Amino acid sequence: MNEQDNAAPDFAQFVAARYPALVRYGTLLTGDRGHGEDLTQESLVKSHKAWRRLHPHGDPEAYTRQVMARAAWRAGRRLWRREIPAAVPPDRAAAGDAYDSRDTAAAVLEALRALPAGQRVVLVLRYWAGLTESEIAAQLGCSTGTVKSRASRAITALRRADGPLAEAFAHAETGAAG
Amino acid sequence: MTERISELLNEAVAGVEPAHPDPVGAVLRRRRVARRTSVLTAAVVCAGLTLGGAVAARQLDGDPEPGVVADAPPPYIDGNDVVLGSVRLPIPDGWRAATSDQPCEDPGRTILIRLPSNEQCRDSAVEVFHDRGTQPGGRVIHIENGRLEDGVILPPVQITLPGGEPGWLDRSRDFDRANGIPERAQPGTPGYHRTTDLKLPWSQAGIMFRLNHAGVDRMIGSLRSEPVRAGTLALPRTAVEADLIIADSVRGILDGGIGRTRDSTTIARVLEILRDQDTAVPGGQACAGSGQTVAQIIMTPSDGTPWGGMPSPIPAPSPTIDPGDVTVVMISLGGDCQEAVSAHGGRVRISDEAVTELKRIFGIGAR
Repeated sequence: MNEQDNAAPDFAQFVAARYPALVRYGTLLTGDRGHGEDLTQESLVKSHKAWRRLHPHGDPEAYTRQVMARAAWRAGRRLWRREIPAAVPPDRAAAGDAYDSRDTAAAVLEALRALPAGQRVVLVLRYWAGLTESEIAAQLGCSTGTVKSRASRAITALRRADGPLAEAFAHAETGAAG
Repeated sequence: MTERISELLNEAVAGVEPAHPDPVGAVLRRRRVARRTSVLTAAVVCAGLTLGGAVAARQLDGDPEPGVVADAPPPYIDGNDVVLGSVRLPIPDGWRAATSDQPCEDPGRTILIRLPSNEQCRDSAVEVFHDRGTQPGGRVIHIENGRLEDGVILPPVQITLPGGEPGWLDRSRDFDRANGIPERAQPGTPGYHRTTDLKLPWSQAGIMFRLNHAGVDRMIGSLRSEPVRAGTLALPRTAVEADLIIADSVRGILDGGIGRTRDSTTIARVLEILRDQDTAVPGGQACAGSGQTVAQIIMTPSDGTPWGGMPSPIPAPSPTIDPGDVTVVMISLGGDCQEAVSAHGGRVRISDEAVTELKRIFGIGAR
């Protein structure tokens, strides 16, 4: 029996159904679509290994997301791991370019990439996945104090006046005031 | 503000689509590559060992999952072996194995399988029993150190059985058979005998030897265990209390080798350090031996909920962890074989830096 036989059909169905959402999650965790997809596939390898435990009585998506979050979290503390890119791909306009047409989505990903991995992961779990601080602490194996401090630093960094999201926050605050 | 952040994050990935047209195939190919890498790694390790070089192998198969401890049945007889979880104890020639509800005969050559409902024949030379507890027993030592007022249980030494199963061996107990008070027993006095306990945390079993050292060593040398797969340490998500005790088989607990913390941040850091050790050690590469100093970490769960209110991190089919159960991590220190074993499963190489930081956290000076 080969791996495809072992995987099919349940694992294949799971991947087919949830892969796009997981890639979006991975994109946020890494700040980069390519690395996000890479992280997704690596994590799905682990889900495949654990499939007998995860299906039909487990929650394969929760397991996969946890593996992804932990891997992204650890990436920040392991210098020998793949580096998260600090710069945007070359097909992007350079800063100061008169024809700079970066949209908000690109600016957000750029801002995420600029964050240390730990701050980025906490930010995504808190404000995108909607987990509480204690849930994040449990998932990442750290203290709630660590979660709070990372989240706070991440928000401060995102709101920096000279950061890529300054304009987006300014719009929001102007709108709220008006 | 928080809503705006959520909106921005949603907006950032709203248009993201996977680039890979066949994700299932991609995942399975990655898995095959990972397997090949593992096999290649194992081959390199074997070659290195054959040449006489000790190779500290590293799992290249991504981050391994936590080790799993299967729910083991009580010990039983299978042919010429007594089976204790994944460990087999061959019945020596001229010996018998019997459950404790059978008539007591020839105790000096009996392997007694202790039944919870029947505790007779307790003078058998070897006694085996089901033991789902995670804490090793041992001699209680009262040390006026101001840290652990209720005394300290002397940690066992950590050994590796053929096949890779870890064992926690305690030779410290001298028993006075007449009155059962260990501390009063003196060699040469009537009723004196020595017991040696071997706890098999992954097989949820214990063995008590009423034999001299040579007899114990022969018995332990005959044990066989199933090959153990690699897994990282199975750990609780949190704990309310953590102790670190450093001891060796010659000196006992080292001077100043005791630390305790109830600070949640400190405990979180201890767990973080242990989780960061991700070089899992499969059975064939385990090397912990009785000559090494051990650092024993005992983590007490929080308020009757073993994992801080979260689902157990110990993957199925591990047994359900009882509320109040503790996690014990035994670290064999020093040399080329510095490895840590969790009673709940998993064994890893542990770095010098991690050991140093653990000692510092618990206020134990570098030795």
